[in-house]
Amino acid sequence: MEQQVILTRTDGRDHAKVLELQREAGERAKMRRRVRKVTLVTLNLIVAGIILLPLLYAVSIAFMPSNELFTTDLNLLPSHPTLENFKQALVKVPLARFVGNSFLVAGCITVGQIISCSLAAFSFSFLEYKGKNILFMIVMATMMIPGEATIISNYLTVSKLGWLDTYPVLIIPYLTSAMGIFLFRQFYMSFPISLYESAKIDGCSNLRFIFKILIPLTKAAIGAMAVYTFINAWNMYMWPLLVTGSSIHRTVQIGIGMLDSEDSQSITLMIAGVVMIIVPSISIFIIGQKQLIRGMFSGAVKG
Amino acid sequence: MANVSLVSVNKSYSNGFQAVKDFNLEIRDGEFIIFVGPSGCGKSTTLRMVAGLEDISSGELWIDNQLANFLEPGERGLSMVFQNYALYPYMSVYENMAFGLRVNHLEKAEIDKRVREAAELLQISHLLDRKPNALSGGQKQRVAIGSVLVRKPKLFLMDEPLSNLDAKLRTQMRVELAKIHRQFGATIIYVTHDQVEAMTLGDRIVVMKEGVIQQVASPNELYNNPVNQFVAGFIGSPAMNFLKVLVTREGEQAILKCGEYRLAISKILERRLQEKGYLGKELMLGIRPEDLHEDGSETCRLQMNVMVREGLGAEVLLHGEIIGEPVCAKMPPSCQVQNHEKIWLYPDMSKVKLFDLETEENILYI
Amino acid sequence: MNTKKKKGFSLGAYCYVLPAMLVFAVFLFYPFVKTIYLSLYKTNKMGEAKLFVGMGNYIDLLTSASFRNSLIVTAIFVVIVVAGGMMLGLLGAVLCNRAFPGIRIFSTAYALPMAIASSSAALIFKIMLHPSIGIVNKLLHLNINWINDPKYALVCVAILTAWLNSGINFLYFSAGLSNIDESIYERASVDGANAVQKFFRLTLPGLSPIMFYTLVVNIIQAFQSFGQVKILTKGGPGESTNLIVYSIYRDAFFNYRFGSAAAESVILFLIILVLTLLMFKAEKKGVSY
Repeated sequence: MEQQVILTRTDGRDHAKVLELQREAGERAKMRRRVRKVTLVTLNLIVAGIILLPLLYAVSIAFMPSNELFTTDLNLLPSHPTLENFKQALVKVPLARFVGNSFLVAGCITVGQIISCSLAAFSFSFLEYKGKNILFMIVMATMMIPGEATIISNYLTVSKLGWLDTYPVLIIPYLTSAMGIFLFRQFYMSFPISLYESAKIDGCSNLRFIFKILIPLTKAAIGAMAVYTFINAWNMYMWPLLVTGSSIHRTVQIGIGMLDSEDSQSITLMIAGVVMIIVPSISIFIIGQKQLIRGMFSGAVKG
Repeated sequence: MANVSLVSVNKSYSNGFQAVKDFNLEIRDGEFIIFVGPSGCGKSTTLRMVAGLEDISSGELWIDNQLANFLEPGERGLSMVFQNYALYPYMSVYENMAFGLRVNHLEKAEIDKRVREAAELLQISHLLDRKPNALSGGQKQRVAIGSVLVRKPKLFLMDEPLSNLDAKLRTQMRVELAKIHRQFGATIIYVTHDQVEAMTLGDRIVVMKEGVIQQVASPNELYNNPVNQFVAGFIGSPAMNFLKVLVTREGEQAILKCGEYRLAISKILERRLQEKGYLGKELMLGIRPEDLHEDGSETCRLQMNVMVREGLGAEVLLHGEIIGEPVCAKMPPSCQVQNHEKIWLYPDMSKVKLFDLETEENILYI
Repeated sequence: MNTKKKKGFSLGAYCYVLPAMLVFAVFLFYPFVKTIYLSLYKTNKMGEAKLFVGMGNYIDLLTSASFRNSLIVTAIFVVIVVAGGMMLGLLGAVLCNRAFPGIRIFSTAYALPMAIASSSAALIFKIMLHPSIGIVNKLLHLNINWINDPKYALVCVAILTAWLNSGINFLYFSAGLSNIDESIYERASVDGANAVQKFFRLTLPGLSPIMFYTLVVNIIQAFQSFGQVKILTKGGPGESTNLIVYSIYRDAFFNYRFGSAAAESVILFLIILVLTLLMFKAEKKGVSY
């Protein structure tokens, strides 16, 4: 029986020595692997530490009594952590109002972009009409125009119309995005046209098709788009700076500037404010990170 | 050229799943050895352990009498063809073939010579400047093999290298692989789930199931003398038929009773069954389609309800059932039986296999 | 009748692109054309075109030392930001490519800067770079007035911007890495390639398509940096951080020279356009797959 022969053939090898050899080599290999793993984790810790340093430092300062900050010693952590900075920051400027404004503006922009981009992408991928391709190319070409190239004229226009210092002026210019249209179209193109045709045969209207079929099917893209748009809208700076004069309609990024003064006593206060306005965008990012990656890269990059 | 031995090799994962169990095998210098089995049987895992792409949980791997468990893949002196070919997409065919030599710091002239030789041999000289994306499946396959050949390794590993090709190309490449093996004389470990590839290419075949070696033998040996019902059913196409039979006696004559049919058996067989205590017990009868004939003795026959007749030109396959079990019979082209007819089949009793119902082992294994 | 029905159908179809096109028309195309128009005029303080000067504004700009400085400063800035931001993103992506305990926390950390506003980041960096209480000087045992020294101010703003952009670059590169077929690494290790060879021969070429895309996006983004300059340096000290966008802002909203600012906007647009086209042309020649 051949099998038996195979099993017993350990000819000429000293088994004890084999085991010894194996144990030694195993130890060495394990060591090597452990060193590799530790190196990788250490490198990650260092790089992540550097990347997060500004944020961690900000959080630390936000809890620091302002007299602690003014020392030449290296004071990474507050020795007497306090919430005073946060309280003061909220009193000194209407930060809550700014946060509210930002939520309103960013929320409206997000919802608006998702709707307008879904509609446009739907027509670009499922409908046939004259000039469709040219229109799509025009949309894509808008990506080439930097916002700064239009911001002066936009400012002059809205100021002439007397729209300055209103919510609509913060929202309306951002109600669509070429990138969003492109992203949604990329997703819609992956669906067979028969999906649309069979819905049509069943008597489904276009709008119904979009809201009942397309949107539920593209949750990943919408999630990604929502996270990305919201964060960008929340972080918007130049336009709100130009068009909001009073603090009533100011968004957080502009409002926080009111805490920025050369008065050294208020540094901790200002950083506490910064921490408070970073928290919403970071939270949304962390919650939506998975969605963002899945949506952004499953359709767009591969296609 | 290398000999490889695996001694009590195990592979278990952190979730407790054991992919390979107590794998023992001695591979001789220059041998073409095949790991075959259904998917998930651990054959690829074993190959990847030999390559060094997976850790060996326990046991010893010897390559050329050197303990290789803890060598890096690149230090093992072997080369591998992957199922998806794993060609570097942004390198030309030439660069793809040269890569393994470049990273080992061979001289430029030597690299060039080897690449051109291999390309010549594989008839891909005209493709050297192309990128892999511009190649057909068969061409990619040749490039993958070429990249392995140029390294002149002592050991070739191949992980289902032909499974992405269409049937005609597969046959062609099979012949070429056999040729290459003869020409280079290198040791080859070849993984496949296709028993035809295994039978045609291998010097020896390792049949695996659920991480355990079932049998290691030459193709002929596997076909004629399978160790158990699994191997018998896995090797051969169309697959072996299995019918439950009762060993009993009618007067002087010992028979296998299969439903209402009777199969007379020889004195020798009777004695062996008696020795092993199977008289009066049920067994699994295994009979290959090619061992069922149109005529023979009336003391030894079965009636089949033919359901589908497949005329293949060189032969005719009859698919039907006997006592409710599906059965296939291979007939000469002269066979005139049509669908829904009944036909008497006469098994060649010298070729039948008998398996224990519980252990599924071949009772007649020698 | 048939044609009528068809026409009605397509009119309906236009309705779906209408909202998006309307926004584009009013807030992108119209102002874009208007910017070009304004750039050919001298304007009054209300931004109304008063005197046609043709290429006058452009000639004035291109002969002014201040604007030329702005171009140079912007060029240096873009190079630092793009190189720094991409390397930081790539470093994170490579470090997070192989699974290890805690990988999710690290990858979140590497992507996090994309969630932070330029203005917030600038305020934090302002404190970090503070000459007496800032952590940078304390950690490095230096005594440099980073932001008020023309030698360092631009680099500081650029590093801040690179940091902000590294987050999304990390995501791009991670996606690019996960698109590389794992088995080519296995083949390379069987072939005996070491980690460095794998990185330069497999990883980098494998990233080249996404690398190109990321490069384009990064360059465009770097040109548009504004908030960090506004808060951190206000273009100074001297004019050492007077990036084009900041210069536009200053010309328009401090000096009320809308015509000149419009001309600068057009030049910015042209620079980005030419760079993008050049890159696409280079890509067609270079990266083929």
